[in-house]
Amino acid sequence: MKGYDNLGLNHGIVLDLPLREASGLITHDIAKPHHIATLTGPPTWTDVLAEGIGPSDLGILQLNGVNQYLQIPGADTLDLDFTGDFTVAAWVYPIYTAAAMVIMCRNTTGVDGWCMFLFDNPALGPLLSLRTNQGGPAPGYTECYAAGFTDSEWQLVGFSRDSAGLSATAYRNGSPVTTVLGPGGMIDPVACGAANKLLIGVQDGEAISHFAGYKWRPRAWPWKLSDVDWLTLFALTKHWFGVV
Amino acid sequence: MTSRGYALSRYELVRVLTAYQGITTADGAADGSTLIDSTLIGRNDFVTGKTILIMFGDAQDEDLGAVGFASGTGTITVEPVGFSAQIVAGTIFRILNISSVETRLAIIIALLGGGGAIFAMLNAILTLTETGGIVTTTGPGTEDNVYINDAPAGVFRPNLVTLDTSDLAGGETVTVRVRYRITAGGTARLKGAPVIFAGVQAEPMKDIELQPNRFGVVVTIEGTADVDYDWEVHFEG
Repeated sequence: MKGYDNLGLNHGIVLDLPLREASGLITHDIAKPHHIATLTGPPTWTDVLAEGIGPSDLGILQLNGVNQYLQIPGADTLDLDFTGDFTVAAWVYPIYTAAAMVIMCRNTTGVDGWCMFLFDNPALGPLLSLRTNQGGPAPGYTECYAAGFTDSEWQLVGFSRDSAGLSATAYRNGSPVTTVLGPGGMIDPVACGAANKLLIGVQDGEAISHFAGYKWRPRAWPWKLSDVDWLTLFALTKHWFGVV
Repeated sequence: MTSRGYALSRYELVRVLTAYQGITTADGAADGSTLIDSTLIGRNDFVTGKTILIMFGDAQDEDLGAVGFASGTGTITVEPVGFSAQIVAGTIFRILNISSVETRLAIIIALLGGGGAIFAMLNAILTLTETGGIVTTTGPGTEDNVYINDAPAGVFRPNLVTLDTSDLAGGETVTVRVRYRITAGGTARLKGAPVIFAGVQAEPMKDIELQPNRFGVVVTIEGTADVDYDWEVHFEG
């Protein structure tokens, strides 16, 4: 037996939704904060094998890209109100049905908070983007992106955000990906307080940029995961999806 | 007729991968850690990091990574321990375009990640994990889920659900039930008699012990409406 908190990359983790319930309208966080995410829509409980997208019976959620997502109240997610270093990650199997599909966010666009999303750029192909919002002059945010986040394929995606370096690095399947920073780099997001929910699979406002496809285990840390941490995270979970 | 396919294939591979072939011009170190080829004097260091294959002599067919090259003397230093014998003058050797570092990295990665041998074993070890929440009872006639793992990906070990009944007041009751599913796609069935707690509890923390499972487990409570129960579960999975 090994202990969850004894794994270095789980130190201080503030969100970890392994989706073990497999039924019902809520799912529980196995990180210490014990967040409870509500399924809105709701997304469909299913598993990797049943969907024909991998070798295991791992429970996952299918989101329809129209009206399905997960949410946790703003007052319960103050620990996800990142304003410095942070890391966000999730296994996703995107099916691009809209230009932008939010993986996870806690923000008001152009005002405060952060947002990780996929963007199917006609010229550059599918991108993974991170936005930090500062308010002020339009657009009120800074942004970075990386290319190669393919359609209809399982991939571990996320960002390690470096406050001191005004930067962020995108990761795909445990490896860093060339990340293009916008003008001014990635400036610290402004705190949202309790105003914004944590949303998984939809943009703030809960009306647009719904995620279409499958998701597993969204996670968040209030610190910057290293390259080794990302490799470990990938190696510990890739077998569920048959990804090498 | 004896097949020579293997030998020919190996020869072709070595030939294609050869960056340089030479003959040592002086004896290397007695411990087999160096070889000397004066033809290489003055050459750029295209050697370090590549693989040295000995073609002749006591160390024939042995290969090691080159870790150093002295252009002034044409001396190649190989990985520690060295070849099994001194590489004496007149030994044919080849420098192969196979990065010894990469070769070893590939092995390490195969063990750790790519092939996943070590991680596969680590992943098969169950991890003690915890979660919890709060359940507010709907009322008599309705079972509210406390802990549910309805379709686990594989065998796991739910250990214990702890239920805090401190919000239970006089005249109020709560019934705890545990159900297991023991076949794929089967029905989760009640195991053991439901446990009833009535009124104020002198020891409000209640333990519900659980058993290893592969197909699903559900712990529910049913009781007086609008009573809050904090709960926590530990499981290995």
